Amino acid sequence: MSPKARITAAGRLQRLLAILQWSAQQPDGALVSELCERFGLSQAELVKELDLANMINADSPFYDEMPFEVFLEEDRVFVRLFSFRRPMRLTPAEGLALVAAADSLVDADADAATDGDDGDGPGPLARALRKLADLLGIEPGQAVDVALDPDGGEPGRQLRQAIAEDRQVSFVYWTYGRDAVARRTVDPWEVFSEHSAWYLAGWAHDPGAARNFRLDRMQELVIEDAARTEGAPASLDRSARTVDEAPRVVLDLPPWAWWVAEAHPVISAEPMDDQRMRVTLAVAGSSWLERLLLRLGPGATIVEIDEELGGPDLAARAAARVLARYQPR
Amino acid sequence: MAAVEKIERLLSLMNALLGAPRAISADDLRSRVPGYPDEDASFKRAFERDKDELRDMGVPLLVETIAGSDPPLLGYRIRIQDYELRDPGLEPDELEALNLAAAATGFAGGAGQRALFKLGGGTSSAPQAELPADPDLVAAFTGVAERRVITFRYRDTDREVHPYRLEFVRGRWYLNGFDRVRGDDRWYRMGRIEGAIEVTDPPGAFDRPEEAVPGLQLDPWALGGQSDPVDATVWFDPEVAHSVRTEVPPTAIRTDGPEGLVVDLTVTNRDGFRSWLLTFLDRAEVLAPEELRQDLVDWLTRLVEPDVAS
Repeated sequence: MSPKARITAAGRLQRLLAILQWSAQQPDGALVSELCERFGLSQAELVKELDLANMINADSPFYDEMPFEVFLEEDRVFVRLFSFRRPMRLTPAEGLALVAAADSLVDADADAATDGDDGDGPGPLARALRKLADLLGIEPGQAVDVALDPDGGEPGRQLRQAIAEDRQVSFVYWTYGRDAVARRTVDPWEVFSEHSAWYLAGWAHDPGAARNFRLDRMQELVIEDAARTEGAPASLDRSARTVDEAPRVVLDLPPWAWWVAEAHPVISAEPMDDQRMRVTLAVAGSSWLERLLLRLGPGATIVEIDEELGGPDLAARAAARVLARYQPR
Repeated sequence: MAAVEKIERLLSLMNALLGAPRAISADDLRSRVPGYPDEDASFKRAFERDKDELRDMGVPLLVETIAGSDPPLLGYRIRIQDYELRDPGLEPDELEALNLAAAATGFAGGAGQRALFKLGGGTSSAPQAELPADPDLVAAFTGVAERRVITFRYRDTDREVHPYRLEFVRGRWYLNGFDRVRGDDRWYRMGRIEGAIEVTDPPGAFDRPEEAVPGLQLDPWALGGQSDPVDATVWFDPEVAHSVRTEVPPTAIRTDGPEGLVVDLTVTNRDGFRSWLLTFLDRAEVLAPEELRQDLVDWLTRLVEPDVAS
């Protein structure tokens, strides 16, 4: 979302109140440049908002009902509030957004450990979360718990360092779709989050192509001495493989297996006469499909399958391979 | 520009209502707030839209009988104590920490930014990591924060729940609460709630449990399980050991080396256990007990020989 994204009338009204309330608190007036930066506005846009504030009730026969007085003097804004002196209470959506953001960064255990005893006491974010929880009438760490490392954890930090230093990285990676584990050497381009999982986009030296890797499937991550050889393209493709080119399978699913259509990218899903559903799936690789079929068991049947994935006996062959482990030795 | 006129009108309306000693009738508001249409029906429509707009912003608009009116007439006002944000007393470093947190994690739509503006902070960048905003999340949080009973449909059953806790784990939101009908504590996956959550009156309808609600355990071999506990020992190929280590508690690990990873798990959901184990294909094997080995062998045999199954 760009800062210039369309703003609704309600959003603009709330932003205007925030500008006025913040300005009114500055004893020497608010610097125009600082207001512009805080609220993401150009100077012309800010002046337009301030003019709007001065119009409220200006033509009303009840002149004493003007809620604010706004003066612009050179580079400063002076505001007097006759009404709206305090901001409006937080809505549940706003409270949730702040609590969730703070909780994802506060380590609950570290907070408890330093509570009361000697040591430095809880950090500023933990203290802020407590005050916020008190304001909203909830227990800190109890009402909302968010497990999401905003940096992508330790690998995320290491990869960012490698990108900043323009160096290659290598790691052992489990390619889920092909069920292959190997050390990969990659020119790292960008660490990004998509659907709450963290990924690295980069140039994979084997097979010599752009690839995305999940951070939670990397192990033994090493920042290499060698410099990157491939620069990032102008725009990065964040999808692992586009649905159009992925091989496909058509499955008939009994009702208890309909979750498949909800959990995976489905190209089409049609209910059938006998309570079953016919779904067409884009498949990342044959190992991925083997797993799905083994988990679903005999209730799900293959109607059609792309050759590159294997034949209609894909599940039977995978099951036989796993069964081989259980034969008497 | 229509938007400017609308903002002017809404601000005037709020200004008239805020802190009014008694409720004000729609007719009085019409004469005091500039910008309403002259024609009666158009005024009524515009006034209804404005009231909805204020409520959507979270303005606590009170509707009550105007004191002393005869016959009784409905009017509107906003009480200061309902409207104003209580100062949470954030120190500058605490506010700065919240600014940074909101810049790192948040929802699309700018609710975190609006909250920070109200608290005197502010950031104008979108969060670095975006949390998925389930449409029912705010309703569930309202229930948690204001201790309101919520009702919704889940797995084909209507539920009445005292909501206690929201948890975001591995990319999904979960809700914990006490199911009044079943008389039991439950976890619900937010994405599986059918239709919408209804938040009921009044607030403060239940007491929170004195003991903290234990965090959600997403272990597939136990989650939602109802069967008698069975201790299972499982071997994993060393090549997938890293992935397994991230999923099992450290105490579950019996041996970990070049011959593989062996873990002990208490299984209470046999379907979940089998399903999880099969995601490792032939890189995992149930070593004990014989009963669980046999379960898996039977399941796989039916896949190898579909005709034998029926």
